[in-house]
Amino acid sequence: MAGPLADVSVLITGASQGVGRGMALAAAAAGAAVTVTARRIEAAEKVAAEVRARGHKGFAVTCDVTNRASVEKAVADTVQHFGKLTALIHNAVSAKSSIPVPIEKIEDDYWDEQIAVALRGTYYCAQAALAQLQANKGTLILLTSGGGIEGSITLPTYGATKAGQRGFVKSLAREWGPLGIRVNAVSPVAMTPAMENFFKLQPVQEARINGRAALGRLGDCETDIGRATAFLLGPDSAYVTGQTLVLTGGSFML
Amino acid sequence: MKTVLVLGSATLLPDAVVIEDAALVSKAAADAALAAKGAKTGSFDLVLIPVAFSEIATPAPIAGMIEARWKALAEDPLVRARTALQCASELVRAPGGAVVLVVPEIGMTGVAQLAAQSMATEGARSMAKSAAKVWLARGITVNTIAVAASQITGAQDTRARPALEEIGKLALTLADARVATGNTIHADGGEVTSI
Repeated sequence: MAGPLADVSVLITGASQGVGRGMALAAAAAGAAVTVTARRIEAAEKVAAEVRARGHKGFAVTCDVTNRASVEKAVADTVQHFGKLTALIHNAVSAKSSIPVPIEKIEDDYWDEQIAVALRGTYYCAQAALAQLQANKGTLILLTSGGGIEGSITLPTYGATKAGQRGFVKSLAREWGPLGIRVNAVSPVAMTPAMENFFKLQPVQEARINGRAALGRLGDCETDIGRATAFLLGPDSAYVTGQTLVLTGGSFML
Repeated sequence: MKTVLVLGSATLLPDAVVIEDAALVSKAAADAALAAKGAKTGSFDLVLIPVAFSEIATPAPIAGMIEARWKALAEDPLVRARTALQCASELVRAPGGAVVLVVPEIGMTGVAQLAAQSMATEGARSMAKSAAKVWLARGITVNTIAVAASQITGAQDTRARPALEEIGKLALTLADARVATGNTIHADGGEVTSI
């Protein structure tokens, strides 16, 4: 498949729906070979099949980012299937990350799961991908959030994990720059299935959230978030590292 | 004369009540240490929270880092910051009190071989912003002072930088500045400026 990402082989965690799915579809449309991962193979395969149905390269594997062996196997399977790995996007988040809990009420099980998925998962992904990223002058991308940058009234734990990932990106970009590896973050706001459910429960929030954006709408996972993230995967962003690409329609501006 | 509590192992102000890092591994352990010091609800004008001071002295590349080291550098300091903020919520005077985190600015500037620690410092700084938004209604301010790593470790540096005691004094000044909350001030000798 020709396209700006014809030499890219990317593994995306948490890609069975929402932003992860959108990034998979957009990267594949730009020519990338895409490994779609999720904890359940059926969920990953559904998106991989969607990629293939559009005439692109899609491959599904299971990946539990809280399990080092699972992450290493997903990377190994990708290399076996596509011949190499040039990029890894860590998008997976804990299901508990959207449950509001104030700082004073945070308990260990709630905290530990989010730390395991977002932070320890980042560490596992980085270590598992390092050899391939170095060999292929590749890129690591982490999904962060405005809640991490600005702080969050309702989700301080989620905000902490997302800000933590952003700090990691900056320091790892300096550490891995000499190896030829770029490290960046993406901070999206998009109409995901989770957001749709949220709006059904609290319709007033839709106008409030849309109203924050200078463009007056939430992003589309594929065309707004996926395509911009695809830029970070390809040669046109060869001089971009240590940055956060804010894809919020102008609701938050760095 | 302000009453000051330091939740973490650091010498920032004389006459402060200090709870060492080891007691911040859990809320229960922290409560026990605070009780032993006679700390009472709402009794402190200023709560200072040093973040990851113990972790930044040794460079630690991600490649080859074993899991126990990762946990010690990235996850444990963040747990201590969470515990400290939970304690601060109870112990700082409301209204009128202030909470000030002091963090190495490594996660804002990016420093090679300190990626794990950068995760902890930025995570803690975000929690401070979250707390600031919520605790404003109680009349509590929450701000962060960012310093260079050398100010904490004492490592040789080409730039003249404020001593930690000066950082403590800046925190006292911030405690009086009731109109600012949720912000980060760089106090590193002028190297990093706000964007």
